[in-house]
This record gives sequence, C-alpha cells and structure tokens, in this order.
Amino acid sequence: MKRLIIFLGMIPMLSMAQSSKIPFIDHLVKKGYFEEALYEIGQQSVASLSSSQKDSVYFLRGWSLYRLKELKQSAESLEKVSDSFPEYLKATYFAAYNHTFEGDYSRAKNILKRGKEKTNIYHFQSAGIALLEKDFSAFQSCFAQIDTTYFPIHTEAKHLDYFAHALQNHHAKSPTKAGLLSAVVPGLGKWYVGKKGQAISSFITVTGLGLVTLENYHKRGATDYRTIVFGALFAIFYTGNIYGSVYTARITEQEYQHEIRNKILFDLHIPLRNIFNE
Amino acid sequence: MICIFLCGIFLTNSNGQSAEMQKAHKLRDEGKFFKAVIAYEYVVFKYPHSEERLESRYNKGLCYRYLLQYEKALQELQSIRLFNIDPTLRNTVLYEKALNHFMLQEANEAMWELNKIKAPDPALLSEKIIPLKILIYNQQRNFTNSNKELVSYLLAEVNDGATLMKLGGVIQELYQDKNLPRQYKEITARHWSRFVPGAGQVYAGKVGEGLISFLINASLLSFGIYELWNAYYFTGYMVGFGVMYKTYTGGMTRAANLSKAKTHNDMIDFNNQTIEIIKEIQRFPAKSIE
Repeated sequence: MKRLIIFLGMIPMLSMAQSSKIPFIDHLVKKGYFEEALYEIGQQSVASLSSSQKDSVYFLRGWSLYRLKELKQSAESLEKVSDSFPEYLKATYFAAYNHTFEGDYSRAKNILKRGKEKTNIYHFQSAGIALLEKDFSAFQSCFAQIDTTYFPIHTEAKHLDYFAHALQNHHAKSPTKAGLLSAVVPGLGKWYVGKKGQAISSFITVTGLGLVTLENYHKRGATDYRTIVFGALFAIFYTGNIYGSVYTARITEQEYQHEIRNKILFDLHIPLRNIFNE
Repeated sequence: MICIFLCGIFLTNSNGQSAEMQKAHKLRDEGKFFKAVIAYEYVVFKYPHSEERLESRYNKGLCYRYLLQYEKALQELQSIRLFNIDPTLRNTVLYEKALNHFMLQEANEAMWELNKIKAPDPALLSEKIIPLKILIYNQQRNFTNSNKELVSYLLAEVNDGATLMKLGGVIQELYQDKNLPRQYKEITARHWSRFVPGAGQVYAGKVGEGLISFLINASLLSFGIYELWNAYYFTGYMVGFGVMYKTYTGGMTRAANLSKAKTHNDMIDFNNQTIEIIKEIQRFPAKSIE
C-alpha cells in the first residue's frame, strides 16, 4: 500500500519530466511566433530525444528560420529531417530551395536527389537550378521531363521556358564599347547601355563644361585661373563620364542577371508553397 | 483519487493560479520579458478554455510593450474579446491598447480606446488614464483640453496649498501661447525658401544654416549675372545658374525636412515637460508613462 502511494505520487513528476515541449513549439510555429519557437527549441536537449522527436525539432527549427528569412540555417536544419518523418518531402524541397536561394546549387541538387521518386516537382526544381547555373543542356533535359499540364507548375513552367529563351538570346553590353562611345560623344556610352536619362544628363554637363572652358580660353586666355579651373573640372567630368559608362555597362548587366535570377527563384518558390499548402 | 489530489497540489496554488501562470508572472517581475512572453503563451496553450487565458494574453501584450514591440503588443491585446469579461480587466486592456497606440504616434486611435473605458477603478484612472489622456491631447495638438485636464488632475490629486500654487504656476507658464510647440508646416518652409533662399531654414529654427544657404545662392546668382553681363554666356549660364539651380532646389527640400524634424522634436520636449509635472503631481516616477 505504501509503495502504491509513493508510485502514484510520482506520476505527475514523471509525466512532467518526460513531457516534451514539441507540441508547444508546434503551437508557437502555427501561431507565427517564430522567434519564440526558436528560443524554446534552443532550450531543448536534442541528444535526449527520440529519433521522431529529433525530426520534429529539426523541422520546426528549419521552418521557423525559413519564415524569418534565415535561409542558410533553415536549409541546414531541414536537411537533417529523416525520411521517416511525415513532412520529409516538404523539408527536402524547402531545404533545396533555401540552398538554391543562397546560391549553393550543388548542395541543392544533392538534397533533391535524396528523394526516392523523381516527381514533376523534382524535375521542375532541377530545371530551375540548371537555369540559374546557365546550364542550358541540363535545363532542356530536365524541362523535357516536366508534365507542363500539371496544374501547380503549369504557369511557372511556361515562365522558366521563357527565361531560358531570354537568357540564351541575351547579349551583354560591352563595357569597353560603352567607354569608347562616351569618349567620342559624352553620354553616348550610357545611351548604348540603355540609360537614356543618364546619357542626356551627362551630355549636358560635360558639353556645358567644355563650352565654358572654351569660352574662357578664347576670351581670358589659357593662363587665366578661371580657364584652368573650368578646364580641370571639364577634364574630371569628361574622364569620370567615360569611367561611369564602363561602370554603368557592368552594373546594367548585373541588374539584368539579378532580375532574371529573382524571377526564376520566385517561380520556383510559388509551386512549393501551393503544393505544401503554406 | 490520490493522484488527482497530488496533481492538484502540483498544478495550482492557494490563489487558484496554475504553476505555469506563477512562473510567467515571476519571469515578468524579474524583467525577463521575452521568456515571460513564452511562458504566458504556454498557459494559453495548456489551458485554452480557462479564465487564465485572457490574463495571459493581457500580460503578453504588457511584456511586448516592455520589449518596445508595440505592434506585437497591440496584436496580442486585440485578440482579447472584450465582451463578457471582468470590467477591471476590460478597462486595463483598453488602457494598454491606448498606450501602445500612443507610443506608435497614433493619437486618434489611442483616444478612441481610452474613450471606451467605462467606470474605471479610481487608481487606474488617476495613475494611468488621466496622465495618458493629457499626453494624447498634446499629441493631437488640443492644448486647451490638455491644459483643462491637467489642472483638474492637479486639483483632484494635490491637497497641499503651497504645492497647488507652485504646480498651478508651472502649468500656467507651460501652456502660455509662446511656450506651446508650434507646428512648422513643410509646405510653408518650402515656400519661404522658394521666395528667399535660406528663409525656410530660418523658419525651422536654423538661423545660421539659413544665412549660409542665402549667401551661397546669392553668390552664385551674382556670379551668373556678372558673367552674362561681361558676355561670358556659357560660364554665366552653366556655372552660375546651373549650380544655383541645384543649391536652390536642394535648399527648399532641406527646409521642409528641417521643419518636420523641428515639429516632432518640439512636441517631444513639450510632452517631456508635461510628464515632469505629472510625476510631480503623482509624487513618484510614473512607470506607466515612461
């Protein structure tokens, strides 16, 4: 009887010790309290958890980090989720996406390959990564395996195809050519790159300073301090404009690549969110 | 039966509060607000249908405010349904909502929440509601009501004749027209600088800067006219007027920005002076308005 009472008395303590905080962390994540969830996860000793509990912790940590846009750490946590976990596929695809976003394409591809079945979404994601790597032959082989009538990727697959064509037909503007053009006619290099407003502004400034220098040279002579000051200013603006045209050509190309990259990433992201109901 | 009895000892205290709630309160009282937020959410999670749920949500909002996360605090407080709840808790929640709106510079929303408070507890009214109302009136630039409210507050709270006289004088001085914070309109500053370069900066209280701006613009204009007069057309037009165009338009934008900052800073100074008077009336540092 005495032993029974002691045993019954220990039940609450035992249950408290064994109870895991995972359901509570899940509650925090579902409510959108991601920072709070991460703090609670940090308090958990992962080593003492069972393998299914570990999967839950890795998944919830990865998901919270993903929602807080800490994509590298998120991917590292999500890829630890084992294939026995019910949301393994979601963890895998989001881990791959996060690595893709961070520019670690080889790691993203390795994670995608872990899946047993090569589904439509697998081919779609692989095609997107190939496009980001500018590996057009790999893109074509992956894209050929996509069923583009599959509703969740129907529109985005069309976009990927369009981007592939755009990238293949894209010719980057030459920074050298832009510089040379600006040396001949101030602002022409910027016009060639496509920055017409900047081109007009540069033309007016440099030509204006040139005319001011010329006017002072003719009327005040070459040794007058005003001629020297305006001449120096003209020289600075003239060479600055040439350098600016070279720089603008580089920046414009970077902007183009950045824009296409963001559009591809956006189109890779949308189907994941639709398929996994997030 | 024994198990239920033992569970009862473990999970509740004599006040009927759960152990989790007590832990959350302890964390809050120790100033560990982030941990307290989680502990209060744990109460909501564990006892979703209990009365403690509302108190937890309220305290969560309070902790978010201490963490200076006013939007989150409001979000939490707005999740509390104010129907059929204890009137004291209802009024406290409404006050907290008003305070968070005030901190977010949303004076009208703050006043809206304060006006919903019905039959408040005298302590809540004198220590928190009235001081906040005075500050909200200031933020709304309704200085007549703010002055009236502050004088009534002084009369209601202070019995000592000498203190009444002293603080009454301070209030009278503070609310004189010359001491009230002016509203410096951005458009007015812009117009001043449009007609006289630098005048907008003077209007916004930066006399030195206004003078420098005026001298720069006047020099460039003179240079332009002088060069044109001497038949240096390109020099006059490009260097004189071209550069002046930039300093002239830049000066107008600068004047508008300065007037906006001046209005904001003057209001902060005025509210700080009001808070000092309220503290003096309360005779202790008013935590609620810090």
